[in-house]
Amino acid sequence: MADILRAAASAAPARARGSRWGGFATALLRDVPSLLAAGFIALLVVVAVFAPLLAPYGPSLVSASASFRPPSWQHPFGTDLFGRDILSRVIYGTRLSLLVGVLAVAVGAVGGTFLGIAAGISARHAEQAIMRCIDVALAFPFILLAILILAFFGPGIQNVMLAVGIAYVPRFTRITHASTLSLREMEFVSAARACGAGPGRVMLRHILPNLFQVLAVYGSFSIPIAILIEAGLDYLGLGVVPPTPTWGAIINEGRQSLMIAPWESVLPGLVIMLAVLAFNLFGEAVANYLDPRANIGLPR
Amino acid sequence: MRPYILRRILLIIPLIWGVVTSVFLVVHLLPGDPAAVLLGPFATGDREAALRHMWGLDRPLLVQYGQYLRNIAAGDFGTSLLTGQPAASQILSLLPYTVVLGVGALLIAVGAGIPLGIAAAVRSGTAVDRLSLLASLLLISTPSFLVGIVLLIVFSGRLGWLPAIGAGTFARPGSIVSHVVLPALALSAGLLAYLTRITRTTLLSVLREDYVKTARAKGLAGRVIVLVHALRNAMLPVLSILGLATGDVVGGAVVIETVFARPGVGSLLVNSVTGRDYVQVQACVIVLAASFVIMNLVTDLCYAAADPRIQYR
Repeated sequence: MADILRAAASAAPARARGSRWGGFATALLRDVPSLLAAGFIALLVVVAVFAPLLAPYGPSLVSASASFRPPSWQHPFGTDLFGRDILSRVIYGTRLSLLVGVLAVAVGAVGGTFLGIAAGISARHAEQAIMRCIDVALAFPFILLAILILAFFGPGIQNVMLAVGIAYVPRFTRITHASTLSLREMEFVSAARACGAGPGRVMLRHILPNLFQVLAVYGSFSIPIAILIEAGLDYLGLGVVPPTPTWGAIINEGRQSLMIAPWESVLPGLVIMLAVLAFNLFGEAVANYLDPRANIGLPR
Repeated sequence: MRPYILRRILLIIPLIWGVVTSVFLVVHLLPGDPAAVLLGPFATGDREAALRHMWGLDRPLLVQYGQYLRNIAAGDFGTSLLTGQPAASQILSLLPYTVVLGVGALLIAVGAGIPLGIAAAVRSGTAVDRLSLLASLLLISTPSFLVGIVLLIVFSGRLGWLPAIGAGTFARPGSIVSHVVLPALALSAGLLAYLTRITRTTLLSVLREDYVKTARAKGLAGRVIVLVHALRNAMLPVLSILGLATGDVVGGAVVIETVFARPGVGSLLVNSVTGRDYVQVQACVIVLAASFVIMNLVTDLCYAAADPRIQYR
């Protein structure tokens, strides 16, 4: 009995978080590609935060005389039909595209983790009901689910974020459910239950802290995919409303003038590619650090 | 084996019913109102109410659901709000173009990705291997529409080798092929890179197994070991990943058809969302999701055929 009580007392394994992050920073410094990736992500964050200070022009500053200027020192990314500076639009777009990518994954992670743990610790029929619904949601290709939700929310930046976030919920549910299944058989969870902890306490204090590793790995691989999906929705013209600058929306605006002003599409596209590459490399670094055995390339 | 196949085929019936039902729920329970969405912000309440009555949206939810299920079981997906044509017949007339695109992309991805992965695994640790890892990571990180845009600018714009837009006609098979090359390349790029990585990783781990050592010890040629002994086992994870990746092909087709202004179910979906044609949106989403479910089933069955350990429980 004393053993069980002690197990319950140390239920949420208290790890020294500080030293853990310190170790991650050391690991990051040792690997050149991960370091470059982290540096580029830091640059993107700085650009997003200080966009108004860094952008040479306003994102919607129209200049009829400067229509379709190719890249030059004055306009490093060229200008569009309305003479707007593409670099400035990309800089302001960094704000929205990063924010939407990160927040969408946060929405998916919070919703999915709640459902996943709830399914994992509830009675058999409730668990079955939740997981069969998740199976159906996963029968939709990712972007199709986002398009379906967006079609009924209507366009707009918050709706894009919500649509991508909701499309992520079933994925996070499946991952956290699988981990909860093995955690719920552990002694410390039975001990906590024996001591009278309710389902809410078991979820938050005993299961959730132990999902940290899984969530960190899956979450960091999800951000680049969320950025790609968001860019795709905006490229299709289903996402934000013009003239809102996001990376995908800028490329969408360049569709009609692809052959006369290719810079309007290609240069923002390269920025997306570099950002996604950096997040992918960073995700690999996180995965390698937290779980070196589980590295099988990039998950979808 | 036979019971397993039967069981897997029967299992997709509840799945497709779930897909159909969840599309119904999204349309009817999300805050958006189809009538308000179609008429725009300046509509009067009377006109919205009239439209809702015409579409039967004012009837009880369960009655609507029953009618909806009966119609879909009969192949009736309703009438497009934009064109007045049956939604199902619009999809049927465009489906062949999307199938050509999807099959083309899968053929390119499998036909190039797996051999490249084998080549990288055999040369693991060399400069070629590291280069292919870097290139594949770069390609995985590239949005498919950027690949499409660059192909379009280079091969249609600058060089003029291949047509830029449209899909050709089935009366002239040559035009179908010339129109599908660039879109299929763009659609396959990410999957190709991903398959290369996965093939390399799994083949490398299989090559460390004891039975490969045995094969080497008895003096078999390296090529025989890789292609005959190791590859078949390495293909199992690749196959299961390919099944999931068909979802990306279906979803990617929506984007790529728009890049190349190709007729197809994907571009029809995008135009219907933009045109607020919720009937056509419903029909397109159901057909695309169902085709993903069926492709997943096909790869699962291939998996079972390739791996004799899979038994009916």
